[in-house]
This record gives sequence, structure tokens and C-alpha cells, in this order.
Amino acid sequence: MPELDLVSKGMTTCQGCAMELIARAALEVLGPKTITMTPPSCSAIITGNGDETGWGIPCVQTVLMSLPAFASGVSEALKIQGKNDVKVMGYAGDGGTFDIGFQALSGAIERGHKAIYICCNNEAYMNTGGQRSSATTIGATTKTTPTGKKEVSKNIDFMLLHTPLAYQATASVGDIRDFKRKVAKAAEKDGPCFIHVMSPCPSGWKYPTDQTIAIAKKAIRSGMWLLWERENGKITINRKPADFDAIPEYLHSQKRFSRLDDETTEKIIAEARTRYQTLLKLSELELN
Amino acid sequence: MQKLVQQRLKKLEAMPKLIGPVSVKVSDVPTGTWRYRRPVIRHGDCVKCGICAEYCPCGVIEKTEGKMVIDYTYCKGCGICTTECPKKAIDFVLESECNKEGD
Repeated sequence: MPELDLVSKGMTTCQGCAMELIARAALEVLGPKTITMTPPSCSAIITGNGDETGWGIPCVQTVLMSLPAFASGVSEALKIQGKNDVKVMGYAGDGGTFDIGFQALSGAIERGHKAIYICCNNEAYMNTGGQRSSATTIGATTKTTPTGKKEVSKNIDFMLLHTPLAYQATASVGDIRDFKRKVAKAAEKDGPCFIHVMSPCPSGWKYPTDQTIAIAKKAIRSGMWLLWERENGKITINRKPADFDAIPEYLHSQKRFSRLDDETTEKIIAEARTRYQTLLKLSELELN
Repeated sequence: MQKLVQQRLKKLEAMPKLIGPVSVKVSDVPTGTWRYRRPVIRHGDCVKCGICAEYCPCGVIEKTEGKMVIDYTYCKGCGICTTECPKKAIDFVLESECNKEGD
């Protein structure tokens, strides 16, 4: 029997899974006084089935569409009991955030409950075999888009810019120290916080398991993933993308982009550039 | 509203104290059996920066007694530590070769 960690070691997540690393890093910062909840997703592996669990803290297994609603309930109950030092952490994937859980998320943010919502984006419904989600990048091969996805992915960070979040940030497993700093910042806020983390998936993105962190680093460097945070109506860009021309290198290191043609590659690069230019413009403004 | 809350809280206090949720066991699968290649640290080249422990998804690398130690009971053999090590001081050895040497 191992020592009781905040997240157990003997977990049956895939080899090289970044989701487990995110859970570990988040709880290292938040500490044992946390209540967590997971929707049915890969993160439900940590919550476990039967009488087993992987969390060393109280956890709730919610339904897929209403994790933020559960979080608001737990948060309000703690408020009534006067337990202000207990944190609430929602831990969902991209399907439970972008598609199915979006209305509950927007509702919870609007009501302003104190909770930290971590979205671990692996760009498809990986737990059910890798079907497309609205977070999937254009051109990516998934089980339901065998010839490559035709639509551009949903930009949830820009969608949530107009919501009264106390703290909003994007992070990546490629820079785990930056992620820990952002979780620590969110833990101090008295309101809804949203952290969007990139989490490469070795089985769905089809790359060797040892490349998980390397691919996340490539995405940051090439500008496919932007690191920024919004606090007190001000956007701060944490790291400038070094080189947009490195995007093809990022794309070709994954087998899911093997059917990509030059036209789509150009489209992806142009989209990444526009996203960064928009963010630059937004960072000059005073938002609310 | 406050009165109702007070009533409810009193009811809750009267109930037996819950120790935890339905789970009574901690997941403890010996995931080391999945491994077909194992990371082996060359302690001569290791500078003990702890980057491998920071990026290990399973949290099996720990710094004990001044050196990095890998827990092979739970190490799944993904190889993230071998690519992330700035000194390249971790070898990725085939499991079959390890058994031959007897370690």
C-alpha cells in the first residue's frame, strides 16, 4: 500500500498521459483542503470505479453536462458552513467544456461562485475512442472525421472574455511551472476562475509516448497555443510565439495530421497569426 | 432564509459523521508491468535538477538521500523523463535486457 498521495501513483491512465500530470501539479499547489469533481471523461479514471479512487481528497463523479452546476452547489454549501479555506476544483476535458458542459459553465460563471475550473484540452473525445469535438484543430483525423476535420475549432478563451470571470488563463503542460503559478493565483481569487490547459494525447494524436512534453513545447514556440491570462480587466501575454513558420513542424510530428494538404496548413498558420494579432490588440484594451 | 439554513444545519449535525465518499480504497494498480522499456539514471551525469520529477506524469521519481530514485513498481515506461532530461543522463533500456543483467 503506497503512502496516501493527493493523487495515487498506481493509476490506469495511458502511458505518457498529460492529464495525470496536470492533476498532480494542480493539487500540489491547492493542497489537501480541496474538493474535486470530474465528469465522465479520461479524468474519471482518477475518480475511479467501484470502491476505488485515485484522489486523496474528497471527489464527486458528476454527469457530463453539469459539472459547473455541481461545483456551484458544493461552493455555496461550503460558504453557508463558513468553510472559506476549502477550495473547489472542477476537472473536465474539452468535450465536457466546449460542447456538452458549456451552458452549465456559462451559468456558473454568471452566478459568480467561488470555484476553479480546469479544462484539460486534448482536442477530441479521447475517452470514447477519439471522436471529433469542437476543440479539434482543422485538418485533424479523428474517428468521425477520417479524412480530416473541415471546420475551424472553437476559440473558447475568446468566447469567455465577455463573462465576469475573476481569473482566466491559458496554460500548457509544456510549461508546468507557469501552470502552477496560475493555479496558485486562481486559488486566491474569490470568484469563478477558468484555466484552459493544453494536454497532448499520445493515443489520439498518434505520436510516441515520450514526446508529450516536447509537442506541448513545440505548440507554445510556434504560436499554435498562446499563453496568456486575464485579471482585473487586463490581458497579459505570458510568452510571445517565437516563429509561426515552425507550425508545420508541430503538425507533422503527429500522425493525426498525416492527411493534411498544403492549403489547410496555410489556413492553420494564417489562423494562428490572426489569433495572436487579435490578442495583441485586446491586450492594449481595458476589458471588464 | 437564514432560519431555514440554521434548521437544516441542525439536522445535518444530528446525522452520523461521514468519513468520506463511497470509495474506501486507493487505486493501487502495479502499472510497472505495462513497461517494455525502462528509464535508468546514470548517477554520474545526473545534476539533480529535478526536471524529470517535475514532468513525470505518474509522479514516480523522487529525490531521496541526495539522488533521484525511480519507483519501478508504478513507472509505466513512457519515456518523458528521458527526453526532458537536460543532461540526457537517463537511458531508455529494453526491459528484456534488464532482466538478463539481473537488475
